Amino acid sequence: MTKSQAVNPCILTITTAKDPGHPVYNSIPGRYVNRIGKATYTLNGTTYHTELNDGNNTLHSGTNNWSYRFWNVTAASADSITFSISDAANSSIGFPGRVNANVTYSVTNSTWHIKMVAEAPDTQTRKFPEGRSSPSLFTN
Amino acid sequence: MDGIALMLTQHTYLNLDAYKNPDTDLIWDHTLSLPYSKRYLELDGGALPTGKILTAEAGSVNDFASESNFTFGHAMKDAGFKNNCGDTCNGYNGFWIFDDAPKDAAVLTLASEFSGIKADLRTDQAGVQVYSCFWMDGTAKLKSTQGLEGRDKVKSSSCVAIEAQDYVDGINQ
Repeated sequence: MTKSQAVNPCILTITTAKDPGHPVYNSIPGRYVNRIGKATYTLNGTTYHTELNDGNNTLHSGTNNWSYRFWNVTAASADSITFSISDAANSSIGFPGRVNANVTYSVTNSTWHIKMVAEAPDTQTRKFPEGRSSPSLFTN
Repeated sequence: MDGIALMLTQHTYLNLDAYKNPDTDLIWDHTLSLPYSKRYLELDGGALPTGKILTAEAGSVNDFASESNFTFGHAMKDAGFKNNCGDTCNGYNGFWIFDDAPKDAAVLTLASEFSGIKADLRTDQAGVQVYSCFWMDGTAKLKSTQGLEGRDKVKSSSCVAIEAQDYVDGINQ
């Protein structure tokens, strides 16, 4: 941004906490964003059925996706804040296994950094399209 | 258990004018550049990728690569703009692929002449979903710091979500 003071007004936000239909304003809509075709996927030989919430498909993991959850603030400094979530198995339909995730927002000069880290402590093998794993992941 | 499905993104909606441009509160006067993204995913009527990767012809609806100063609405009058983001959805809700982008290159630039604000996206992700807010129904309120007198709602096509992520529905395709 070349005018950092203008960033805030440029971003849409939720003005009330009670907003069941909010269109994922500013959120991290996990654990599997965007569409899953026909609300089904197969992973390592197991087929999972997810919630139909966008025509024939699943959008952003369904109606209980991470953008509707409460996140904890787990770290903060003058120029950064970290939000954390522990997403239990099947909190969104068709998503087994716990996922623990952190999202850190920070600002340096005119750059807004967004860093996401996720780990799946219950899994033995992992397929992570996104997220940086921590060493503890490999111990199962 | 053997694994989990995981794909994350950040889903901020932007209007770089904060809805204060008296000429328009729509997003189409912003400029959008995707210099490494001639290729994009074909969508079906439900905005789900078909699995086919298309290459945008210069000047076509989904081309934001061949010039750096296309307005976001450069193809509004093109017949292909209609239903471009799925059945009855006009505009954009698709995924562009970053091809051969150098590390830390600005892979997307959104800018507004009105406000003078320019936003560059740098990411380690494979591409970006760009959604032009067609389905915003005009009921959500703007913040008090946004808009103008008589303009306080989020209208259809008045914002853009820029979502760096991996290939859409990649778990199935």
